[in-house]
Amino acid sequence: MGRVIGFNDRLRYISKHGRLLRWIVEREQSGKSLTYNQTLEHCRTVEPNVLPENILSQLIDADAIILDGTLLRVNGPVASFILWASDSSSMMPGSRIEQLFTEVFSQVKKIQEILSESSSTLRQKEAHIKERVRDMTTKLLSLRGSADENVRTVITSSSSLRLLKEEDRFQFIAKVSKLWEEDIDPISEFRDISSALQSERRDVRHILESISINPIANLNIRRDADKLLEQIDFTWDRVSIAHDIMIKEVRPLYKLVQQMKSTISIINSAENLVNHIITLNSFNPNVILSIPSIRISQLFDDLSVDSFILTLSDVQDESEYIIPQRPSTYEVDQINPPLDILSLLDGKTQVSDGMEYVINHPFTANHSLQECAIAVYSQRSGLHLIINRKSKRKVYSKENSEFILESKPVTLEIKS
Amino acid sequence: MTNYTKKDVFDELRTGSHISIGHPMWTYIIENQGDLCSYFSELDIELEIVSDVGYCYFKTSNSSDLIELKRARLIVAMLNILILEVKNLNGDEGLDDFLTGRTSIPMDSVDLHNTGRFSKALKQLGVSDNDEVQSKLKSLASFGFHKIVDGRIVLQKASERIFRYTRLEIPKVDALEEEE
Repeated sequence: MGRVIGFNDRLRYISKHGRLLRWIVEREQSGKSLTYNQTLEHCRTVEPNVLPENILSQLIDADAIILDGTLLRVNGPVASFILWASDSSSMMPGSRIEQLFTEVFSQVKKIQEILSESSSTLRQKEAHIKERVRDMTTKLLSLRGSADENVRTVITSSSSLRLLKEEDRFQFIAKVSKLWEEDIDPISEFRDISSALQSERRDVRHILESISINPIANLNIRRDADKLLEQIDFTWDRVSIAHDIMIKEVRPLYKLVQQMKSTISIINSAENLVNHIITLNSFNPNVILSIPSIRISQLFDDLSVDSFILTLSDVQDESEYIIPQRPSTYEVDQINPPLDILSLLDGKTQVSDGMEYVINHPFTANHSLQECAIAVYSQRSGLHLIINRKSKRKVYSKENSEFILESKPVTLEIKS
Repeated sequence: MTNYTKKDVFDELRTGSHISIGHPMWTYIIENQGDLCSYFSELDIELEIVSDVGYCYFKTSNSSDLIELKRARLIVAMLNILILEVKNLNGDEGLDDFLTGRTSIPMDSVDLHNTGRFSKALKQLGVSDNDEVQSKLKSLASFGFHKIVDGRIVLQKASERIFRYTRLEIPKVDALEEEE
């Protein structure tokens, strides 16, 4: 049985053999399982002056390495620590972040159910709720840690990705696409105001707010609800801020990837077209592309011009063109010409009752009362219309009119 | 100058030309797109505006108003062979820049008959030597998929139409072995 190792020793062994641990973690990440003997052999070549068995036994005693039959692996939390320390820790995917939030939200709903149960005492309820709050706090803490960790990973990996672009375009496309589509995009989806998770979050806020003022709950439960609400909001904000930073960092790379993907697709299609032309040469782009060559309508096309010139030879001269007779103008004669008040005044500078004057003018014998009124009351430049407001109203009529006009007399005066 | 007329747009596009972002008439077309589209639709002409990429063109359903097949094939083939040539000359990154219109290539560096497969394909289309390649590239520039400025070829946004057609419409053919 191994001896009990405390915090200081454990930390010392991990620190002392960090490089060996990183070597094992890197192999594990590439899918290789190492045996105890293979690791021993590696220790011998890297640190020839130290007994390799001692190194491994220290790490095994410290629980940094776990021996599983002949195979050997680095303990999970230690592997995470090593990855973090070597700036190559993996991202927590967006879907996992969403899942953790969902778990927290369903726990809150469970608290509400516990609180409304009639079969348990308040003390029992408090114990259940305490347990759930502890679990939720751990999850929220983990979410906040992951948010920060994701940002750190993205920032450190973006410069290495830029280098990778020069070395291996396909690797670059694969890594950036994964980063965007698996780690960043799902967060954008659940952050959307209309997402299911956002709606759940609103419900959860409402539940916690009502618990914090619920008289059935005791002070501890109400306080826990308050704290939880604060923590959920705080965590959501941290995840959101981290997400914004990641977007800002990765978006230019993702745009580049989109461009590169498009270029690759264009090259492949162009190669295929060349092969098609050499072998089949049967493509018909003019119909699908519908590129027009439109002649302006009502202009002669070439054939029409030829045809026009040819028919010119058959043309015969007309001896004389006779203008046909016009039909009767009786109806036209029946229409009254419009009245021009200035012509009717015929040099007079003032007429005290314009309407009376026009009605009785010989030229207006066939005109209606309406036509006379239009002539008098229409605005004309050079003519003043003055209504005699102090006079009594007067009735104007005409034999050929079915209407009468009742108004105060209007003085017409030519402007000098 | 932004005060163009419908007639200016019609005169520019009726012979199959494409207007890309950066063309003097582009802003006028974008600002008046609703009005222009409905006006031309009454004349049985479709004004297609691909504003997210940045180009527009006339589309006609009247088969008697189409450009001739030989010319349509030539523009599609030459642009595709040209980008393969640019990849050979300038690598993948150079091609990225060329496709986005960030860089241009000198006309005299284009020697499409120097590559066996390209030469074979061009001969199938009746372009027998490099002088003809040069003159065709110049005459085909009237479609607005590319332009030639100071002896250099620059791709226009409208070229996206040609590459999309090639990707979607040309049936898959097994790769040929390169001739020695």
